[in-house]
Amino acid sequence: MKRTAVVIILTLVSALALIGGDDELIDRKFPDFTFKTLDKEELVLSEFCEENPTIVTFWATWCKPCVKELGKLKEMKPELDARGVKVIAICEDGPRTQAKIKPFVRKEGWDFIICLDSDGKLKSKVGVADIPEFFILKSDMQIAYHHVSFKPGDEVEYLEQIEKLFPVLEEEKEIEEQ
Amino acid sequence: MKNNRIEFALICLVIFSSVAFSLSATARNTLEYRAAESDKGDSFLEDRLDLRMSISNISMGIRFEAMQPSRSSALTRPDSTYTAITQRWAEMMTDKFTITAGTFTKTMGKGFLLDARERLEIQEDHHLDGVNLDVDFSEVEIEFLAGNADWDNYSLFKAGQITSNWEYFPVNTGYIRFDVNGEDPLPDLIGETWSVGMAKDIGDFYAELRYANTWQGPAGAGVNYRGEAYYVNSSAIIGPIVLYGEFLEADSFLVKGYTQEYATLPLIVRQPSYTLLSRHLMELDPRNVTAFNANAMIYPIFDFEIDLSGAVVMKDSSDLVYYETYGSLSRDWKKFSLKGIYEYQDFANDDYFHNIVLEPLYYIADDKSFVLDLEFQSGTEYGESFSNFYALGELAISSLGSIGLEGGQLTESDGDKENFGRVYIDTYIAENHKLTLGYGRRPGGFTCSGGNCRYEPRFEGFELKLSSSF
Repeated sequence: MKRTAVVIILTLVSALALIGGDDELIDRKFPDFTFKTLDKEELVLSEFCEENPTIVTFWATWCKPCVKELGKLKEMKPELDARGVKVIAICEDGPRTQAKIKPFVRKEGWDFIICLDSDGKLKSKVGVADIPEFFILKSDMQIAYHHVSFKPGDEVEYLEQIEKLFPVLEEEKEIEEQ
Repeated sequence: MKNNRIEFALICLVIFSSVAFSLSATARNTLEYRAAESDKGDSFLEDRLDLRMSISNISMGIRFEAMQPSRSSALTRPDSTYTAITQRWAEMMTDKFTITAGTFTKTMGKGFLLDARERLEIQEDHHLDGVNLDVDFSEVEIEFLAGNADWDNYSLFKAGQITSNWEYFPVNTGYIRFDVNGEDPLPDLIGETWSVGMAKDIGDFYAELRYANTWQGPAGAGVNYRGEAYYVNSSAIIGPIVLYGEFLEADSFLVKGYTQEYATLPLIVRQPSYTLLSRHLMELDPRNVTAFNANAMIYPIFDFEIDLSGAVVMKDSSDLVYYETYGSLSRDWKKFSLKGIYEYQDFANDDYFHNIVLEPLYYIADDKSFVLDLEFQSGTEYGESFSNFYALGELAISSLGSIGLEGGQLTESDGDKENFGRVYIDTYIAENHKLTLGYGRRPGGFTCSGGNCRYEPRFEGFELKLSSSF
C-alpha cells in the first residue's frame, strides 16, 4: 500500500513538473532580504538593486564549480563595470569552514560583495537547493536570468544575457570614445 | 507539546493568509530512478520535493522525500527504515523580527553552541523542530530558540545568543541547555554550554578568538563532566601571499557525531576536494585534542597560484595522532588550465595516504570545454596496502549539456580490486528541466559531492534523474 502511494505521489509530482516549459522563475520577483557583508556592512537587497543591476550567486569554498564560476565573473569585471553590474556572492560555508572564507576571498582577489549565510537562511528564503545557483536581477528585483550549476563555457551565456539586458553606461561610452 | 502548539498556530496563520491574499509559490523537484541489472542488486526510486509559498513577509513550505525500497540512514536513525519523510515550516519576517516555526536549521556561536546543518538529502537529518525568534536591532542581534533535534527525536534544546555588530565591540555570546525527552535519561544527555567569541579586522590582519565551556550530567549524580574548548584563527595579507592559521584545544567538549549531536568544532584538517578520498573518509575524534594548521596561499607568482598547508592533531596534548601536508599548483593559459595536487596524510596507527590529483581543462571553443580529472592514491588502510585510481573525462557544451565517462579501480577491505565505470549524459530538456541519463557501475561507499556526503549503495545498471523547478 505504502509502495503504491509513494509511486503515485512521485508520478504526480513529475507530471506537474513537466507541465511548464520555460523557466518559471523568469520575471518572478526575487525575495527581498537584509544581509550583512563580509565587511560587516548592512544592505537591503531591494535598495541595492534599485541603484545597480545585480547578479546574485550562491557559493561555498568547498564547491569547485562555484569557485570556477566566480573566477569567470572576476574575468568579466570590465564588462560588468561598464554596465554598472554588481555581484553579490552569498557564501554557504558552515561553521566548520567559515574561518577560511575571508582568506579564500583575498587569495582569489574577488572584488564582489560577499555575504555570509552560514545557517542557510537566505538559501532557504530564495529556495536554492543545489549550488552554484545564479540569478540576474533587474532594478525592480525581477529575475531576468537564472541558471543552476556551472560548467566551463556557461560564462559565455552569462555575458550574452548581461549585454542583452544592460546597456553600457554613458560615462563608460565617453571614456571609450576618448 | 508547547512548541507544537506555537508551531501549529503559526502554520494556521500562514494558511489563512495564503487563502485570503494572493500567493506566490516555487518548487524544486528531483526524481531519480535507477534500474539495476538482474541479480546485481536493488532498483531505486527516489523523489525530493522542496515547495515554498510566500505572501508579503510571511512564507511557508514543505520538503518531501520518498524512496523505494525503504531504507535506513547510515548516519541518523540507524534502527529505523522509512519510505517517506515530510518536513514543514513557516516564517514571519519583519524589519526587526523573524519568527520561524517548524523544521529548520540553526547555527549558534559559530557552531560551538549549536550546529543544525542543512543537508541536500533530508534522509541525513540535521534539522531542528521548534521555534526560533530573531530580533535584529542592527548593532545588536538577539536570538532565542526552543526545539527538538530531528536527528534523534529525543534531544531538546533551549538556547539564546547575543551578537554585537558594533565595530568596537564585535562580540558573540550564547548559552544552550540540552535535555532529553524521556523519563530515565542517560546522564550524558543532559547539560549546558556557554560560549563567547570575538572577531576583529585591522587592515589586512584578521583575528578571531572563541571560548566555550560545557557541562554534562544531572546535578548530584556524580557523573558530571566538564569540558572546555579554545579556538583561534588569524589571517594576514603580505603582498601576494595570504597567510592563515588556526589553533584548537578541546578536552571533553561535546561535539557533533559523538555522545551528543549538537555542536561542532572548526575543521583544522583539510576537507577532501577530490573524489577518491571521500570513499576512504577517516574521521578524527576532535575531543581531547590540540590541533593547529598553517596555510600559505600565493597568488599569483609568474601566473601560478600556489596553495601550501600543513596540519597537526595531537591527543592529550602530546601524542601525535595525525598530520598532513598539502600542496597545489595551478595556472590558467588562454584556452587551457591545469591544476596539480599532492597530499600526504599520516595517521598514528601507521596508516598513511599519498594522494595525487591532476585536473587539466581545455576550451575547444568559448562555449565548449573538455575536462579531465585524474586521481591516484596509495598507502595503507587498517595496516593493509592499497592503491586506487579514478579518471573522469567530460565534454561540456554550454547550451546543450555534457557527456562524460568515468571509471577507476578501488581496493576493497579484503584486498580484492573492484573496477567501476559509467557513462552519462546531462542535458536541459527545457529551460527548467535537467535530465541525466547514465549507465554503468558505481562503487559503493561514502561519497561526497557538493559538500554533502552520503552512503551510496553499490549499483550497476541504468539511471535516470530529472531535476525540475516550476
